[in-house]
Amino acid sequence: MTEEKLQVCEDDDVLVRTKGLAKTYGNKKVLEDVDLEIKKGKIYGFIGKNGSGKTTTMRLILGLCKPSKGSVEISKDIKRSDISAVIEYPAFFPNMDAVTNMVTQCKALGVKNPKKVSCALLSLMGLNPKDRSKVKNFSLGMKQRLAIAMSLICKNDSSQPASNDSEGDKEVEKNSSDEDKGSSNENPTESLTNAEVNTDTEADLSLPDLQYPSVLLLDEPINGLDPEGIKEIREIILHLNREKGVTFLISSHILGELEKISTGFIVICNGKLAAQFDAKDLRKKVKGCIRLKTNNNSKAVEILINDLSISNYRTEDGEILIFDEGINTSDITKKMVENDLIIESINSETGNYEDYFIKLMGGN
Amino acid sequence: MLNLLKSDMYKIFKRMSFYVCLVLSLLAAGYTVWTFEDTIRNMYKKQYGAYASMLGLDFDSMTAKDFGITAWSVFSQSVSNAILLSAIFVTIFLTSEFGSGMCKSIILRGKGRVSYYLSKLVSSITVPIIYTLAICGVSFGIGAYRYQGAEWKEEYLKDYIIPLGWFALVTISWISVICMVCFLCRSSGFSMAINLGLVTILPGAIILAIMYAAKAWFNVTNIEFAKYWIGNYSNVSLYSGGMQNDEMMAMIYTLCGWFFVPMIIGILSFKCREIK
Repeated sequence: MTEEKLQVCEDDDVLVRTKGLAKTYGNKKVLEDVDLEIKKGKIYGFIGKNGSGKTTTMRLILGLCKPSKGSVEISKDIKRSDISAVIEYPAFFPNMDAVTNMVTQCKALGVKNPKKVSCALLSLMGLNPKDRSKVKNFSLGMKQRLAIAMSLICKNDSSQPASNDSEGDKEVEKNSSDEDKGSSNENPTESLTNAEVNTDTEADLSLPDLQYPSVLLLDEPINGLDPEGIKEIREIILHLNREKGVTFLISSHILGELEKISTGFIVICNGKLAAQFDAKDLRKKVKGCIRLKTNNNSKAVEILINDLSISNYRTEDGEILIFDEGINTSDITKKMVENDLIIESINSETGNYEDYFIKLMGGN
Repeated sequence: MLNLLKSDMYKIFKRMSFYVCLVLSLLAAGYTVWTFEDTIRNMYKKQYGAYASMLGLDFDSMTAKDFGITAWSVFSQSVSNAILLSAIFVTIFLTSEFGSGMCKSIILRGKGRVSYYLSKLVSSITVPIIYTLAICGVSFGIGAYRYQGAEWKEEYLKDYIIPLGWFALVTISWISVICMVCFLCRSSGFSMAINLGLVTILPGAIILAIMYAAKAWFNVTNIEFAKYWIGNYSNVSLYSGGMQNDEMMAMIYTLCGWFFVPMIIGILSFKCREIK
């Protein structure tokens, strides 16, 4: 009665797979025949216009609504409780403080040492566990961090000795009960060791009983964050992915951020899957170019063709744009100098991901 | 489900509104008990005032003892408030889960919807029970201080303790109805309006409407619809002194009906609907 039945995905690599997923509200088709795969250990950027069906796809994966057609399969190696999410808006009780919010979630998920785990995750997300102010007074960025911290709560392994768990919790509980009685100076984290409440990310992540969900779906996780906050969240996502093996599906409209961290992309357009590809494929799809300007462009073109075997190029506004792969600016510079050409400018440009994604999303 | 229940109990006790409603119910209980002697005196004056001189009675000079008021007779006088204030708190508690998105964050972690509903129902049931016990305790304490007569007599079991047990069953059924309304409406304002309406002003109107409809459309006049209305059993003094077997059976059927039918409707609706 605790876990809803799911279809099992037999593929070892794939954690979540949707097959012909469709969702219709009345006569309106929100999703149509979406087949996507979330592979183990990857960070997917989930891209699409507003109303294209990103959140609906996530909701269907999470079992918050039932598909009109198709199915969601989950790897046999994980349970539904291993898939977590921050979806649509951060979920918490505004009149409670961050630790209490975290503890309610920990208790619901059967996490041992709920206060210890809560404090560690809050510290990890850059929130102060000693801050007893109500969440409703938090800034948008802090709320977003809290929501991510709550989504990271995962039932911890029972492999740890029970005595250790109970001792740890007893200590924290003792402190907490004092606090509940109104002593505002007391704090549940005070009983933790320095390493445990250290705001240093590494220290917090190394807590022995801290476990993380296998898949984390984040819907606009960096909304409302300042540049520093965005950087911190990016680093945390990368750390969790690389060190803890957490797989991410991140929907965001900030393409530059997604491009920085994603190892795969899923693009959805008008409820249909437009593309799913790896980041390395994106680099092939979105070619960069080298812009070259010399005192004699026609001679330069001859040299490029004859000496460097360049075939993919064009001239534009007095510049030569070279699209061939495997060629670099130093080779070109060397050849130009050898042939007594004066280079007025040469620079390497990366491809325009934004334009490519906008095109995939059905934009102009 | 045990984890959900633990979490829900934790949330209940961490909520300020739980204590606000508790304090309000205790204040109301304290006031009722403190003024109980005057209430009884006024009632007697109203009923027997015209005959007082003939009977040689002076109600103004009579004491609580003369009226038969003891700590035991007042200890369950205000428990009806427990239903009203529980309705308020439980509505806040349950609808906040939807409003805050916490319901979503629990369900998406693979917790079954039936477990979720039952956990909410069971944890909500503890609220009126706690309120009832607290009201009885405070009422007894104030009653013992003001009216004396705190010594135990065997007949009190039948007169005051067993009725409290019946009342607890009524509150459980009420909570099932309140829980269903919250899960159906999900919005705090709408749920609060319906639940408060149900526990306060609507019952009479609903019964009258049912009786009118039964008579007008089906020519049914011999069924006492009021007997099957949960609100009809909300007054603890009804059970004082024991009940006839047929009354007791009618009450048990009614309460079971009002507990299980809303629970099933609530679970089915929660299972079928999307979680926003």
